[in-house]
Amino acid sequence: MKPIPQFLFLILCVLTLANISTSGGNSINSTQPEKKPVEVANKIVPVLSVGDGIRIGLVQVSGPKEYVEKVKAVAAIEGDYRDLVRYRALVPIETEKIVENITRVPFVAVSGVVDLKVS
Amino acid sequence: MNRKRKRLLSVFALLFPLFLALLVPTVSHGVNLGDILKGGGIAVIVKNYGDEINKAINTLLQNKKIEVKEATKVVPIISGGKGFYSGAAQVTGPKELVEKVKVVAQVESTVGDARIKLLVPISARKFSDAARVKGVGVSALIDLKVSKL
Repeated sequence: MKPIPQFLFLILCVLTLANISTSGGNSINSTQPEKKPVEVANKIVPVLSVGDGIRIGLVQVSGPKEYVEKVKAVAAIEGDYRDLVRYRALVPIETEKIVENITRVPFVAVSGVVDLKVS
Repeated sequence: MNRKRKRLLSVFALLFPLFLALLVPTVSHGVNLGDILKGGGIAVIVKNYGDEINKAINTLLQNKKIEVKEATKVVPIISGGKGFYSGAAQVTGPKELVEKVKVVAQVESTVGDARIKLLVPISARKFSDAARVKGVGVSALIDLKVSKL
């Protein structure tokens, strides 16, 4: 068997490397889709007391736009710890009817508390 | 007897203004003794019981099947204008961001007839836009039970 001429060997090497680098690039691009910046939004919604469903205030919620749009109210669930502190968990929810089981809207949290001036 | 009475009265007269000075609100700064004591109480409670309070809130929500899926932490709320702790909050968000949060700054702004107390998680003890931790929000508000403070 004749040995491959040197110039042919070099051409083959260059072509092979070029092929690997382009196909490798494509595979990286296909596994890492372009990251779109998350559009952040905020909104003011009523706070509902869990149990009786009474409106007890207003809060501002914020998070990714698609999730914030789903939020209709914030459910307030009260509890206390060792008689030292009282806490109010604020759960963003999709409905104002909180008699049934409530479902949390993920990735949304409270960013402000609204006080209405009573004149 | 009269001497004793006089001595008592003079001691009382000396100490009473001092006592009043401690109790009367220092109007110039809008901060009173109650605020200072409350702030101290919050600092102590968050430092010593913060993790337990965080767990208690998460357990309550877990029992109702509405738990927070992301990381949570209890931090004090610092009142923007006055610079003392006015309460505490549970913050939620991605773990690496929640870990950065030191306090929640309460910044007041007025929109029409409404006053909004913005709750901004920050990575420093003093509020600045640079210290703001974006992507973290408040999931619970915590208050001391001692109402007189």
